[in-house]
Amino acid sequence: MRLAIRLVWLELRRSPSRLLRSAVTLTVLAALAMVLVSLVDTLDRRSTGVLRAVEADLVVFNVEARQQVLRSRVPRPATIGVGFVDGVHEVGVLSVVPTTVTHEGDQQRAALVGFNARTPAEPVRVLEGRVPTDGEPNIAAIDAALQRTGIEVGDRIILGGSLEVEVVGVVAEAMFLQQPSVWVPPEVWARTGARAFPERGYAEAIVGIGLVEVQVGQNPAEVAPDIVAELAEEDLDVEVVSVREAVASVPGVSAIRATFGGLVVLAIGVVVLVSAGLALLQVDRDRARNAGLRAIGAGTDVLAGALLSRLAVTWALASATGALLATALAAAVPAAVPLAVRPAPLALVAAVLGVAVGAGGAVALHRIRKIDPAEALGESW
Amino acid sequence: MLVADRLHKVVGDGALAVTAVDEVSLQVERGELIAIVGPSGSGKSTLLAMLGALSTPTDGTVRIDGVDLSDLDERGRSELRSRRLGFVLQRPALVPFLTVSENVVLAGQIAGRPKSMASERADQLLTALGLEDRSGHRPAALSGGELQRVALARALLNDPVIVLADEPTANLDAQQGRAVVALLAEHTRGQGRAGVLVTHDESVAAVADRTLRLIDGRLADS
Repeated sequence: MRLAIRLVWLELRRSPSRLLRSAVTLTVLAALAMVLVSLVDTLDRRSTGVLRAVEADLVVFNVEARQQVLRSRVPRPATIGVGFVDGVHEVGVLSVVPTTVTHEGDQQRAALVGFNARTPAEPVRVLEGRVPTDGEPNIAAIDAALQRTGIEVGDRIILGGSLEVEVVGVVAEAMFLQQPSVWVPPEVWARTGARAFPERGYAEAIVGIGLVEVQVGQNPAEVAPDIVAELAEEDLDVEVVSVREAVASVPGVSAIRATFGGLVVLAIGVVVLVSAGLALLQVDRDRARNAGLRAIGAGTDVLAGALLSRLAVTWALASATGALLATALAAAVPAAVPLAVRPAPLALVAAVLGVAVGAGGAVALHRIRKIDPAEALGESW
Repeated sequence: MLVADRLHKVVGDGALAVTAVDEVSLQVERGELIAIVGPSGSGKSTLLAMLGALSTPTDGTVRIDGVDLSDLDERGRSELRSRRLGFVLQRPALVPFLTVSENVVLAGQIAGRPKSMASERADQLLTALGLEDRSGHRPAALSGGELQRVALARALLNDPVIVLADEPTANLDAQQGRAVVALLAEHTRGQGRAGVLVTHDESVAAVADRTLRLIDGRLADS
């Protein structure tokens, strides 16, 4: 294997053009896959950031809401009862309503999030300052996406065109349905909602969803039916699902995942085919030379090792350059375009590409094993 | 040193089966260079492939220094080719991005020899073959005759007991061909090795100690 790696290293140094064509082809595909994955990742996170910002095991919806956070209405006293269900550690409430945020005369749309502090509904990552607690109706925390528009801690903003609050903190980006978020106590959500949508029944005694943290060692899936049963005794029909299921139910998320997921799978499939094609071309291009090397005693390990090393170099170049291209593209497009690059999705794409290139290379390995050393001689028989 | 007994080779299957080599027996002694001549398609390369452990006969045996090649598996045949045999091919199959010297040393590395020893031996051979000024060049910069001399150096690097040459002059002009064959003779016969030279050119064969004529897979005379 050392000899094979040394041969590929010398080839790369002295004849880079031999590897360049396949590296460029794979780079284009890698960049495409990385941009697609970053797009779906950004769209997904910007649609579901509020639910991802909290740390809960279960989400309680009223049945009519069909797992939609905006439509869910649960009586606040009922959520208190959830806290007495066996296996439940803590309960919080979280409610969302679309609103506007006005700052220094500029108005933009946002998601207003009412939540209980110091419960599973509190956002986990506070980047600056603090979040408001119950009974603090004149302050708010904003998420990092809203901060990027120029709002800072200490600024005063107007919610829904009439309620002025002071920004006291910034939480990590937690967008909902592509809107940045403002985090306030539940009563502020109720008042703002009632003013904007009087027909929708916003009241301080009503919340959107309950967020439940189960006790250590408890299985959330086993606790969920007990919560449903407990609230049924109070004539309240609820649906209790995991946060993952609640995230998947956010409008548009399943469509985003299906559409872009299909494209990503298609891109990976193309990578497998292209890798196999490129590897086979390399094997065929070098067939006479490999037959000659086999004739003078080179084993399959040397020839296969050289092929695999060449593919590994091509993959590494394509992944690194593809990641750079995707990052540059994300930096170049306007902020409104939902394309933000995170290392984890890029690493995932690179890993999947590696597997795809390996699968493509496996086809060529079979052919390299079939090279007959007698082919090195002048005539076939 | 090299003994082939009743070698028989059928290529293809069923109705397409063709007997490429038919009941060929031969013997090559140390210090002897034999030539195998015959028209295109007469089975010369097929015979050479069996003698050089590149392919297995349908029937018959090949022994090199008493070792029956049919007793060796694929790995064993590879090791035999790299350590005890030297090949000079019609197409030298040199690695294009390696220098002449590195191409020669590569044969030693394939055989598992330490690189320093292989490099030292490569320098000696390239000097002996008049290629000392070309050792740092890539194969693309060399003439056909020079390429075949590099191939000869590579074949000799591991001090093989037998050198097998397949149409080494096919792509050369007459003058270069004569020079290459003379060097081949000098470095096989003259060094106490056995040599087998396959050619369709009678004038090239004239340098050998014996000439075996192959027609339709059978030896015509010797």
